[in-house]
Amino acid sequence: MIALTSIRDCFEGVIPSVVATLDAEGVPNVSYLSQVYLVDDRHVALSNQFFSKTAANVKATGRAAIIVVSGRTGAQFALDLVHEASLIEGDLFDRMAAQLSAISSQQGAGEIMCLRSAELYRVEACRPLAGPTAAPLAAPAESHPRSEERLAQAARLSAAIGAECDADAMVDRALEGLISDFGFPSAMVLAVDAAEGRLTTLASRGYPIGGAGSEVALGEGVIGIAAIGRHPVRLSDMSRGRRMAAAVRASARMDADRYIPLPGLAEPQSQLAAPMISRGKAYGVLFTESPDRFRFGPDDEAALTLIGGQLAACLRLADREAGDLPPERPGVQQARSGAPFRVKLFAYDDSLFIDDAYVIKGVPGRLLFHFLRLYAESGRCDFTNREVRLESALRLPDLKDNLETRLILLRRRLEERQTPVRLSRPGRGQIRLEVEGSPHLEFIADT
Amino acid sequence: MIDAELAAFIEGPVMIVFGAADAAGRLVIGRATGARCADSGQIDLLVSRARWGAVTDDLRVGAQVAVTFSRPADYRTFQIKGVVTALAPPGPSDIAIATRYIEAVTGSLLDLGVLQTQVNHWLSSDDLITLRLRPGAVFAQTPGPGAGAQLSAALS
Repeated sequence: MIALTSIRDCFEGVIPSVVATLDAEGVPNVSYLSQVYLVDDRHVALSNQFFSKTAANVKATGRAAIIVVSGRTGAQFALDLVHEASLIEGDLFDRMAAQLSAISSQQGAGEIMCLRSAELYRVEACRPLAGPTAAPLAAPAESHPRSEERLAQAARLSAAIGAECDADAMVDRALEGLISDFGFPSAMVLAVDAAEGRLTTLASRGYPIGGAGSEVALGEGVIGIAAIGRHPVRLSDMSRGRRMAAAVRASARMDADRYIPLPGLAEPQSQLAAPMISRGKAYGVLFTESPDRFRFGPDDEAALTLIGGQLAACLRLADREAGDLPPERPGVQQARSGAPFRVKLFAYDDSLFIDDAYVIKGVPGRLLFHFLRLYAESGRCDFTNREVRLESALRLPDLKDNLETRLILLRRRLEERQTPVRLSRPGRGQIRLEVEGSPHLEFIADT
Repeated sequence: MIDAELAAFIEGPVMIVFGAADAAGRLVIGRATGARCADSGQIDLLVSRARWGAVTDDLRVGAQVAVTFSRPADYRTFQIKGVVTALAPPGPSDIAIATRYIEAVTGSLLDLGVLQTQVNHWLSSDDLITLRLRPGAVFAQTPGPGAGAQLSAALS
């Protein structure tokens, strides 16, 4: 029997698989499956969402036959299956549910495809089917580095992230490593904002724009699904179906004046998103994409998940440490000359505008307005993580775990926007406001 | 049972897969390279023995067959269940049907981003055999909550 792991391309959900079953009377049924999941060399799993006749037949006979197709070459393989278990929870079920949502959202099928159960099968036989005689022998064009190489790279990058003390530097190190060590064409770090139901881009590499502050809704596209499902999501061929970036653009048009475009490829073919999990919570998502089909393999998925976990743990720890440092004597800035600028904060979504240009919304918007108010009142420009966390007027939701990511986001966004106010981090747990000109603050209450 | 609209769909650029139990009771799956709705109400499937010989060689008259016709662009799908009434060498027009079918389906698959080298694995008109079946029931199978609904059944 052909080892299933040697035909991984057949289990990527690119070309639909075919499944046939018999009912108790021997009447056949044949239908398509969006994806057959590789479990190990002797097992596959089928998603049960709406092919009820197949499920009923398997219940009666315990057997199924499938044809799987390589998404890369088109080569076909016939598998004989014996049913082993019907799973409605657990790691395999969660992975399949996340992958299924990603495929249906990418193909525009919406909420129709929801996983009822993961059907686990033992593979009795796997036979290659005859192909065109002119076709070259099925030599898997493996462009991915071998697993042990990827594992060593992940270990090195993990160590490099762990060696950093500063949260900003951790994010930079992770992104640089994914590009230069892993050879990924692009990389993005997004932080989860559970209260607002979205992810916000902290930084990116490999795109014409940085995109700090751009947003993705939880559950939307491979990024949002990886965050909500807390499992990595990988697409290998997006030629069919609508593109995630297009969907994001369309859904954001409603509030165009408060919208930062997500840095992203216009026509991605491969996408990979790994959740950054720490203490059971998705803290953010690492994301990469490529215009080439089959750019990312299972080893890339595993490696990115490792890096995501390491980055989440290190960022959380940095947050804790920065918050515990004692406050320093607040610095006072001499009032500088420069043009006046107007700062407006809208209460309903905490969106902040400088001279009528949108800057940021949510907690970072509130934070910046808070700093600027104290600056305007007293000329104070030095703040600490600790006092921010204790400041009840800021209404900060569970900031003990993610103040640093908000500050990273705010600092980068101000830099990208070239605003007259910037943030710098003179030391751990310290925040300095650098103001060019004199701010005029305006708070727009809910109407 | 097969109205004009369904007949046009079946004979159009749709992917055709069939499942059956062979003489030994084994489950087998194959692809067809074109279909024809005959005046008799029967359906002819054209199958390449070069690709699917292992399947067709073990099928016998009287075997129960399920055939799924699916349009790649929108996944509109029908399944027809029936019985094999004949396995015969291709008639004069069969090769022309298979050739036209391959051209049309390849066109719509390429439009969807599928590669020619991939399509070459699935569709072939080499060494055709005509698989004639008498339909017994038709099911709507387009993915979604309505999948599996029976549209019609033969009077028996």
